[in-house]
Formats: sequence, C-alpha cells, structure tokens
Amino acid sequence: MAEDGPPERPLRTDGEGDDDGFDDEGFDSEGFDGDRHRILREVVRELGRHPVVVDARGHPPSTFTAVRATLAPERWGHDASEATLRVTWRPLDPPEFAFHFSEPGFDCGWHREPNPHVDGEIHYQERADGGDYSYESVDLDGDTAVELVWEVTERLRERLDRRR
Amino acid sequence: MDREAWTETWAENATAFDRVRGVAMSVDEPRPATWVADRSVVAESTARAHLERLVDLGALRTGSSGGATTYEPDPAYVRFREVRRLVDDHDPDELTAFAAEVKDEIAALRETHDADSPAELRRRATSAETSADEARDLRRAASDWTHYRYRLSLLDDAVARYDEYHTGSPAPA
Repeated sequence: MAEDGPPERPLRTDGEGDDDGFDDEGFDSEGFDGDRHRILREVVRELGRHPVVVDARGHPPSTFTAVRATLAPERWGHDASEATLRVTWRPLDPPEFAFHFSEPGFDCGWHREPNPHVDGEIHYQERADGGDYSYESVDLDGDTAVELVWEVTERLRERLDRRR
Repeated sequence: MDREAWTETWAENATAFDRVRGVAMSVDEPRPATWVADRSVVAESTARAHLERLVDLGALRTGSSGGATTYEPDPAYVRFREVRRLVDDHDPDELTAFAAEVKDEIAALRETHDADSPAELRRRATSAETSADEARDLRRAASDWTHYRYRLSLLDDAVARYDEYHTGSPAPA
C-alpha cells in the first residue's frame, strides 16, 4: 500500500512545534495511517445490521480506539440485564483483535494476540463471577473484521445458549 | 464452527452488495475479486460487478497484482467519510475537546517511550537488542500512535472545514 504514496494530511499552518508525531516520511511502513480507523468504522457499520445489536458506536468518542455495542441477548432467548460487545483491532502483521462480550457475572471473548496460556494466537477466553479466565485455542474462518462480526456473534449465541 | 452457520445469518441481514462492500472496505491489503467473492459468499461475477460499481462511486481504487485487478479502499474517500461524520455528529466545541484528548494520548506515548514518532518505535522494534516481547509492545505503541495522529488529522479537518461542510441542521447540544 505504501508504494502508492503518502495519505492525505491535514494542512498545517502552525509551522514548527507540531506535537502529533508525523514522521519525516509522512506515512508509516505498515499501510496507511487510517487503517485501524477504517476497519473499526466497518465494524460499527456491520454491527449496526445485526439483529441482536441495539446500538454500536466508536468508543471513546474522542479517540475511537474501540467499538462498543449494546446487545439485546433476549432476542436470542438469553436473559441479561446489561450486555455489551467491545471490539478492538490493531492492523499489525498479523492483525491483533478482540471481540469481547460482557454481562453481569460473565464475560468472554475471541482474541487474536499472543497469550501465555494457549498455543497459537487465536483463542477464546471466559470467566464467571469474577473468577480466573479459562483459555482455549480456536480457529476462526473469517479473515476480515466484517466477517468476524458475524462469525463471533454466532459463536457467542451458541455459547450463551448453553448458559441459559 | 460450520461456516454456513454464520454466513446464513449474515446473508439474511446484508445484501450481496453490502457483503461485498463490507469485505472490500475492511481488507488489509489490495485483493482480487476472487478473494472478495469467497469471503462475501457471492459468485465471482457478482463480486466483480459490485466492486466495479464501488470503484465508480470512488469508494475503491484498483491496482494490479500478477495480472489480476486488485481492489482496496480509496484513502481519500475513507477520509472524507469520517470528516463528514464528525461534522454531522458533533459541534466545533466538542471536536476541539476531542482533539485535545487525542493530543494528550500522543503526548503520553511520546513521554512513555521517549520517542518522536511511530516510525522511531518501529525502528527500535527491529533492533537486534530488542527482545521479541519488547518488539511487540513497541509495534503496538506505534500502531496506537499512528491511529491517534490520523484521528487528530480528521478532527483538525472537521474543525477547519466545519462551516463549509455543516449541512445546516442544528448541532447537537
């Protein structure tokens, strides 16, 4: 991607003393600066189509480092007073991500990042009632964040089904 | 898990065009129509037609690899889409406050790592004296920094162009 040239940059009129850390090269070696932003935006959009999602938005609204969705798992027949899905994504090589569900007394998630508890980078983790996490290596079919929205929510539905 | 278990729910809630668009807009590198078709659960001819439409709309741009046409999001389109959203969802005071928060995050990274840019962190990550764990942390910090400065550039643009882009609907309180 980088061979195509630098991405658009804001017109800066304040001369010296920028504190935003633009490099001399103007762009990074690992793709465009906006990759994480773009991918998280697609996650917001995709979650917005999902029947179990009530609301999805960038969080926090200032830095947009994650997506936070409010879920209505009762639409799956699962009672929960408050249920959220938090999604993070770092466009590294390979990407690191987390799709993490929380409800009172239980949380679980599908993560791709090295973890000392399991072999392989993709794993599922869960804990109940504030106990320790248990970990399990898993394979995911989806490559893109958009596919993973649907794959992970289906896995979540199955997991919550067994908790009912 | 059976792939059909989740692609079925996806297909019930997103049209073929929406699926192609979503996959194409979230790729991590330029991809050919066959790749997009496999992941969007559509025929290759369908994917190609939708991808070409997205190129016409300015959302994607084309390249070539090994004789095949590849598609990737157009950075100018992606950028304007975000600035438009910021202007629609926030007033200039909120945008200015957001920019200040993002600058604080950048300043914290600069101080924590005693570095001037994400590129410097990535250079350190490749140094022979850096352990694998340290290298990973440095790449993560560089990725965060890169994200923050992109976010800051969007916020700066939204503030600078607010009057020009604002559509006239009342700004949220």
